[in-house]
Amino acid sequence: MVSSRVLQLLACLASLLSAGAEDDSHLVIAPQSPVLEIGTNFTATCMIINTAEITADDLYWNLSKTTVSKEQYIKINKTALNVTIPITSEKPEWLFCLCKRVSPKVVLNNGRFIHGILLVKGYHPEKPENLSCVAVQNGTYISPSIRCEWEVVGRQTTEVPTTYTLIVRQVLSGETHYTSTPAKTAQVPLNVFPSFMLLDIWVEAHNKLGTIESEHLKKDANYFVKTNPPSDVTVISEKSFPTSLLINWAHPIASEYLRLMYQIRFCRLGSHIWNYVPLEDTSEYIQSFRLQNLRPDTVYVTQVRCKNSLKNHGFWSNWSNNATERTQEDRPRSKPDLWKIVTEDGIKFICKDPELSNGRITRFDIMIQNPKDKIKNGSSEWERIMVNRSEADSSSSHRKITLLKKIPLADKTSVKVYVTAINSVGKSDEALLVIPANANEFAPVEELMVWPHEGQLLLEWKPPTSTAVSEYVVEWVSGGQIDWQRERGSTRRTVIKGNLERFVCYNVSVYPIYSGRIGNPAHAEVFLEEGAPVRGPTVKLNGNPGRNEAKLTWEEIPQHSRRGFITNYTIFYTSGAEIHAITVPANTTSYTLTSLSANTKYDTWIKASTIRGSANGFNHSFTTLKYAPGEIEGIVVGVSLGFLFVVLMTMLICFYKKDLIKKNFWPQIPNPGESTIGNWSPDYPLKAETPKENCLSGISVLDMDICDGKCVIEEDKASLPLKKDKYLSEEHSSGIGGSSCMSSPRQSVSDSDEGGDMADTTSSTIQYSSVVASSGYKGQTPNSHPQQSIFSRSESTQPLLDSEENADMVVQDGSRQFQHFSRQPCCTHNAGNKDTTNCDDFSQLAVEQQEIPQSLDFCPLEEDNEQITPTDELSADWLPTVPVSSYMPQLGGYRPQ
Amino acid sequence: MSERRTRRGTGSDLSRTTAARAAAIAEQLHHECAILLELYRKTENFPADVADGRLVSVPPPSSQLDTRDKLWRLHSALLQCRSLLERAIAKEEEELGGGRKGEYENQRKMVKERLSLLLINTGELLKAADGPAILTPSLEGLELDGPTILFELKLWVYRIFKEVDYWTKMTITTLKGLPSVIVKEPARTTRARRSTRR
Repeated sequence: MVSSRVLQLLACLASLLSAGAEDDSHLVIAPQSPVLEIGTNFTATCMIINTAEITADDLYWNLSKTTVSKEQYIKINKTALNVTIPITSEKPEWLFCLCKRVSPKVVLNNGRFIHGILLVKGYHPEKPENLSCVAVQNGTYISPSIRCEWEVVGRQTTEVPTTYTLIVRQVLSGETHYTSTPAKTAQVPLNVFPSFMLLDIWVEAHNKLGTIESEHLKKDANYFVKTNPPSDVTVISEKSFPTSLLINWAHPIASEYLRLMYQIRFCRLGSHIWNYVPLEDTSEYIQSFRLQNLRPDTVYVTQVRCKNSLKNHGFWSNWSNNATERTQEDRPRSKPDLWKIVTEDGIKFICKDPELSNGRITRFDIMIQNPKDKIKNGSSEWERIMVNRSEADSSSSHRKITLLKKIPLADKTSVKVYVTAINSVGKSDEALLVIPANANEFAPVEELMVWPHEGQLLLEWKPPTSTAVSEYVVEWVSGGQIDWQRERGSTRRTVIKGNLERFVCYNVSVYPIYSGRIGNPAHAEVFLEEGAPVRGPTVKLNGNPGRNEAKLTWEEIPQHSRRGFITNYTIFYTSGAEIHAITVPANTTSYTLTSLSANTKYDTWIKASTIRGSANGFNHSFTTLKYAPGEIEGIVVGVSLGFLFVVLMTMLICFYKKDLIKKNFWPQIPNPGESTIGNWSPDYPLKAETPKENCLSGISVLDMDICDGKCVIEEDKASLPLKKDKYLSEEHSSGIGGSSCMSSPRQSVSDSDEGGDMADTTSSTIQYSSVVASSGYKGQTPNSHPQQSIFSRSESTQPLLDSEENADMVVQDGSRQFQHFSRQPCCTHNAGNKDTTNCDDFSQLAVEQQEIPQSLDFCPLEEDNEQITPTDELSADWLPTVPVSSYMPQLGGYRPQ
Repeated sequence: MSERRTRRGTGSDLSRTTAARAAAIAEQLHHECAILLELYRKTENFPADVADGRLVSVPPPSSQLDTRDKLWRLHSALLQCRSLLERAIAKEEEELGGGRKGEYENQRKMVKERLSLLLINTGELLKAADGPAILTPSLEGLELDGPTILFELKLWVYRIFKEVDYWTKMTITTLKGLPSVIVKEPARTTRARRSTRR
C-alpha cells in the first residue's frame, strides 16, 4: 500500500516535473485534480523544483484564502512538504502551495512560487435499493424491453454525479444488455423477450469515486411479466339458473409464452363493494367460471384479471372491463313487508316489495279479515292490487312503498291482513299484520333512545317485560314521509337503514309486534345531524306598544327550517345605540319588553339557536308611546280640577270680598265740587290774576293713538321754539281731571327727545293726569309771559290711586310717556293763563312748589277720548327729591268731570 | 397425460431445469414459427404444401440412439436451421431490400432469436449429457448460398422456415421423451453417468 503510494507520487512528480519545466514554475502539487470523498482526509505534497532559493521550510498551504495550520504540515524532505486536510464541505475549493518572501528573487518571481489544485468533492455511491422490473405485454407477445426502477440511496454533488447502469444478463448465454441513466428508472431493450430464460438484473451506481452494485434479481424472465387483462370478458345469464352467471374470457397471451392464473370479482350494480372469488378456484389456466349463489333478477358487474400462474411470479394485470349481466328471475323468496298508517279516518295498509322479490313484482294479493265480517260473510276473499314496477324500481336498493288498501277505523275491532307478492315466476309467502282491538294491552318498549352516530341513527331500547315480542318495527316519519324496517325479537339495538337526510327531524317509533299483533309504540324525535336554523322567527307586536313596554309575539319556525332542536330564542332590541339581548327558552313564543324609553323607535328581532348555530329573524320596528294610556286623561282631569278650584276660589273671594274689590277697582271718586283748593304762593302773594274760571290750570287730557306718533314728530318741528328752553316744560304742571272748559291743551316739552319712539309701544288710548307743582323756579324763557304762575294744591281728602303710591315705577313709565305727550301737537302753551280759570274749581289738587310761568292751554278733545292726561313731567335729575305724583291710566269708571 | 405433465412442468420445476426450459422455449418457437409460416404464406400466396424436402442433414433417427446422441442430433439440426435462417434473412434483405420493420420481419427476427435461445438450452443439455467435451456439430455440406432465382429463393426461404418448424417439433418431442432424471437433474445425471463410466 505504501509502495503504491510512493509510486503514485513518483509518477505524479515525473509528470509534473516535465510540466513544471514548461511552465518554469518552482512549485508543484501532487496529486493533480483530485476527486475527494467528503468525510475523508486528503493529503497533498508540494515539491520545490528547479531552484535552491527556497526550502520546504519556506512553504505554506492555503485552502482557498485560509492558511492551513502548520500542525497539518509534514515535511518530507528539504524540497517537499505534505499537508493533510479534512474534506468536509461539498463546495469545490482551491488548495494552494505558496512560498514566503524569503528573498528578492521570490518577491520578483512571485508567480513562479505558487501552485494550486482544485479539490472536487463528492460522495461515494451507495447501493441502489428495492430494484423491481417489469415486462409488459405488447400485442400478442411480451415486449422485449424490460423496465426497472430502484430507489436512490445516499447523496451526490453536482461535481461528482452518480450514474446508474441497468444491466440485464442472460445467465446461460452470458449475453448482456444495459442502459445508463442519472435517474432512478431505466428500460433495457432486448432482441426478444427471453421467456423461460434465467435473467440476472442489477443496477450499478458509479461516479468518480467508485462503483457499487445493487442486489441482483436472478429470476426467470417470466417473473417480470405483466400481461394485458383478459380480453372478451362476457357474462351469460341462464334461465334455469336464476342464481348463477357464467363468465367467459379469452387468454390475453398465448400459453406458449405464459401460463396464467385468474382472479374474478363481482358486485351488484351500483354497490362498489367487490366480492372476490377465492383464488384457489380460479388459479388454473381457465377461460370460464360460473358464479353461484347470486340473487335472482339482480344486475352484477364482473371483472377478471390474470398473472403468471407461478406463485410469486409476475404481476397481476389490470382488471378487465366491466361485464354486466342480470340474473334470471325467481319467485319471491320472502314475504312482503306489510305495515300500516293510521289516519284520522281510517287505516292505510302499505307494504314494501319482498326483500327477496327475485324479480319485478306485478301485483299484491290482499285479504282483510274482520271477525265481525267473517261471522257475517263466512269467509274473506283475496283482492288483487296490480302494480307497475319499472326496471329501476326493481334494481333499486330502496324498496318502493305501495298503498294497498284503506279501511275505516273501527273501534274495538281487531283486523287481520294477509298480503302476498307476485312476480312473473310465482308468489311469495303470506305476510300477516294484526291490528288489535286495543293496542294498549300490548306494552311498548321501554327506555327508547335514539341518537346519531357517524352518519347513522342508532336506536336502543329495552323490551317490554310483560310478553314475549316476536319482532319489532322501527318506523321513522318526517314531513309526511314514512319508512320502516323490521328487527328480530331479540334485537335491542339497531341502526336505521333508510336514506336519512341531515337537518331533518325524524319521529322515530318502535312498535313491538306480538305474533303479528301491533303493540303500543314508543316515540322519540331525533336529527341525523343538526345545523343552524335556516331563518329566525318573525317577530311582531302583540297589540300596540306602551310607553315603556311592548309585548312581542312570534311563531315557531317551520319544522323544515329549524334544522335542529331549538335550544333558545334570543330577543334583540335596540333604539340605535345599544343592543339589548334577552334569552328565553325554546318553548316561549311571546315576551314583554319592559324598561323601554317613551316615544322612542325600537328595532327588534329574534335569533333562534340550535346547538349548531343560530339565525336571526326579520327586523321589526315599533315606537313607544309618548304618554302612557290614561296619562293624558289624568293630566286633563287634574288641570280641569285645578282650574275649577281656582275659579271657585275666585268666586268665593269675590263674593266675600266684594266690598274690598269694589273699593279697589271702583274707587270712590270724590266730588270735585266738594273739594277746596288753596292757592298759595310761597314767593309771591296771591294775585288777582288767578284764573277766574273754575278750572285747574296745568291739567291736560291726552288722547293719543299710535298713529299719532307721526304727528308728534311733525309737531316737534313746529314747536322747535318751545324746545329752545327745555326748562320751560318743567315749569308746566298738570292737574287731574279736566273739564269742558279746558279747551286749550297744554304743550309740554321734555328735556328728552327720545320719547317719540316710545309712542309706538303705548296703548292706543292712554289717559294721563298729573299734578305738578313747581317750587320757585324762576327761570323764564324770553317769550314766556311775565305773568306769575298760579300754584294750586288739591285739598281733597280722597286718597290717591295706587299708581300714585307706586311713584317710582310710574315716574319712570310716565316720564317716558310724557316725552311723547310733550310733543302732543294738540297741546300748546299759551302765553297767558287765560284757560286756567277753572283751576280753582278743582279741590285737593296737589300742586308742588313750582312756578307755572305760563298758563296751560287745553286743546279741544273729542268727547269719546276725553281723558285726564298728565301733561307734564318731573325730570328725575332735575327734581330728584321732589315727590312726583302721577296717575296711571284709569281703566273705566274714571271720567273727566 | 403427457399434456398434464407438461403443464405441471411449467410450474416451479420449469425454471429449475434446463430441459424443461428448453422444451418450453421449443414450444414457444414452434408457436412463433407457425405464425411466421402463416404470415409468409399469406404474403407470398403460397399453398401449404408448396414446398417440401429436407435442407437439414442429420443422422437418421433410431431407437438405438441414447439420450446424448438424441440431443446431439437435435442440437445439430437446430444449429443448421439457425444458419439457414440467418442466411435466408440475409438473402431476403439482400434481394428484396432490408430495413423494413413489418410484422413479418419482426416475426422472422423473433423466430431467429428464439431459435438462438433454444440452441443455448440444447447446448446446455448436450453439455450436461456429454460432459466437458462438447462435440460441435458440423455445418459442412449445408447449402447456404441459396438460389438466385426469385421464386426459387422464396421457396427456399419457405423451406427453411418449415425446417425450423419441423425441428422445433422434433425438439419438443425429443425433450419430452427424455428420461425424467435428465430433465430434472441434468447435473446429477452427468455425475451419475461419469461414475458409471468409471
